[in-house]
Amino acid sequence: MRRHRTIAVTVAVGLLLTVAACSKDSDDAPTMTQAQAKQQTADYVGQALADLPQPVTTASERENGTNCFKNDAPSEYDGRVVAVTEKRLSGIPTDRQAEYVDHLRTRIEAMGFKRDDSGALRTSVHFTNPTNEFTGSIDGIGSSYGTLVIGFSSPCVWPNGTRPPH
Amino acid sequence: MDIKTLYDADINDITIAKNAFDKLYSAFGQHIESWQHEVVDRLANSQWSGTASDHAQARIRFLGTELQSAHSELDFVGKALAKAAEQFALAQSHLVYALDDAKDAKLTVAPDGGITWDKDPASPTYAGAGAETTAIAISNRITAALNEAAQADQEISARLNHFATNASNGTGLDAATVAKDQAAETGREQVPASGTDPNSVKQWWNGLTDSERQKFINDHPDQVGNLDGVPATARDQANRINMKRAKQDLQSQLDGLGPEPKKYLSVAETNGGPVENPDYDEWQRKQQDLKEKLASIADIESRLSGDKLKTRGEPAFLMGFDTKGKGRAIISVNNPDTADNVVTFVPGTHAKFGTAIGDVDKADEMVRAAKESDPGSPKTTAAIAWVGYDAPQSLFPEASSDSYAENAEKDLARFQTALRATHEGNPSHNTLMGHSYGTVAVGFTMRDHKLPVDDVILVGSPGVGVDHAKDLNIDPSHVYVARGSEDTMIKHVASTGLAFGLDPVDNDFGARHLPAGSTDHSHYWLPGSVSVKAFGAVIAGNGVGQ
Repeated sequence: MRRHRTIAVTVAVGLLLTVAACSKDSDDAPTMTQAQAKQQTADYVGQALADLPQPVTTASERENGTNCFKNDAPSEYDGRVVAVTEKRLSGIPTDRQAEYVDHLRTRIEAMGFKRDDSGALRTSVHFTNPTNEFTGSIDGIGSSYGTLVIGFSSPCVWPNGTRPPH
Repeated sequence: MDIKTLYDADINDITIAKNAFDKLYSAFGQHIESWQHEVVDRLANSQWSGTASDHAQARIRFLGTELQSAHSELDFVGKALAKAAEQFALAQSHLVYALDDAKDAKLTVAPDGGITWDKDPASPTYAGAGAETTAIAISNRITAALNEAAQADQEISARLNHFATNASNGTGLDAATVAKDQAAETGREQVPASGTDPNSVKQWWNGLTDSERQKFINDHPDQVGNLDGVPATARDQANRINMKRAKQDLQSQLDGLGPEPKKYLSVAETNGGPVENPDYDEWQRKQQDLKEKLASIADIESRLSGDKLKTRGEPAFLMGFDTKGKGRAIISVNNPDTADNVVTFVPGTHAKFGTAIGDVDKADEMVRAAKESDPGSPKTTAAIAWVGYDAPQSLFPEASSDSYAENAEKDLARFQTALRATHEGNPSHNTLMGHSYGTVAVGFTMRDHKLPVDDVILVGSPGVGVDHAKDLNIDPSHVYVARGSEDTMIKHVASTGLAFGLDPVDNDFGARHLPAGSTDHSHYWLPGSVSVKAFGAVIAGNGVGQ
């Protein structure tokens, strides 16, 4: 199969390199700073949890973010980071979990987020804010342990808002 | 180690040295016998007694022990040289065969390993349409031969240094030292060879006492650390020793690089205009390689026991470690031998030891996503970043070649078998996942081996060597594919001659589609992304997809 594709490979390479180069350029744009992104995720969590039905115990699930990668070298950091805030909601009566999920879903959508891939995941609902590309999620749907996790993540941002000079 | 050094190496010199030591060993043995007959026995049969005699007898007995110890040390040196000669000869023959094959294929191999060929179809020296594929395969064989020789060099150097130290400071005359050396030599022979069936390795390991296991870890970490079938905790312990040693070695290589050569040769040196100094590029390449590997070790140390462990929380296990060439790193977040779910993640193009921590980040995200798919559940997940093969280092030409995936097959298959062999309690739910070219390695391995895996996830795949999921030796309903709408690069690759079979996201391929949102090629594992949530659900066995 491989021996007969040399010409096609050569043609494809030009196209491929063009695509890779275009993707790289778009990553250079200024962004909000890491601190602003982190604050935004925390604010989103706070808004989503307002007026949450009781009983529920809220605890921090995740505060640390992670790194972004070069588009043409997916194991290499590109210098940008993602900010994350996640909370664990425990003690939810199992028979009322759907009510909690509905409440959170409604709140998150009211905050400007759009629900993605509806129905594709049994255990999660996922949202994206089209204005700033922040994402949100509710995890643990259907869990028998009375626990949900709600979280918000930023898109990839430069720690200081702009790409550092080379 | 470079091509010329290995090619020109006169291995006969090592054999001559070995024979000389064998002769010395025999002659020394005869002298000990003579000493025994003509001095010790005669003295014992004499009528000499009293305090002076007791002192003399004690001293003579001690001297006899010293002579026997020295005799044994000479034997060890001869055996070490014999082993080195055998290893060098094998590496040299691999190199010679590769160079011969290059010549037969009309390829020219430069001293630095670069391969060129005549691309003109009208030329009598035209290398043919498949020259590039052949060149890549031969280049890999040359690299492997050089690595073999470098490893043999390191091993004989360490052993001879040890025996030289024993000889120069007198510890080689000490019976306890010799007993320790003897145990090490015996142990070296006892550790199953690399590539042994993991079930046999596990059986060997099970037959050892705790103290014997610890001794193998301490005395032979280079052999134990990367041996499939040895439990994860023992491999981790051995590889931390290997990493500590490698760090010292790399640092000393960096310190010994010497001053940076000048970039251009002068007019006087070249009889013309200034030309680039080849030593400058070589020096820069070596320095960059050493610095990158040392930085990677620092990152791995941070994840195993430093700041990254504090922020991530879950323990990590170093299940494979090697800094030769592009290097290898196999790092598991959580213990795969005790976890309920285990995922092996095979990264793609550009993956190497120097950037392994980026793949561990993905493993961390998968552990978290699996946990969050059923929060509160006591079930645990281990995610392994398997940088256990020589991945392509360029999109073209390397990532268009089958050879990197073919070369990964045996090691990846054996690693999967080992996960089953060493797992404690009920069998875990095992997932094999590839990204980009890593899916080619996964696909080829599954196609050609019946792997003990429950699910497979192909992320951003350019094809996997088959045109239907059923050909991966697993129920197609357990084959998942994911591709983000912004993964334009792989979308183009999969639709061109660079693809490795039918595009796996094509409905005719027969795999189940996972949601991947609008991710590009490099960000399927970002926290909060719908793709990583989907991976977590599959890995944890919680079901997903249409």
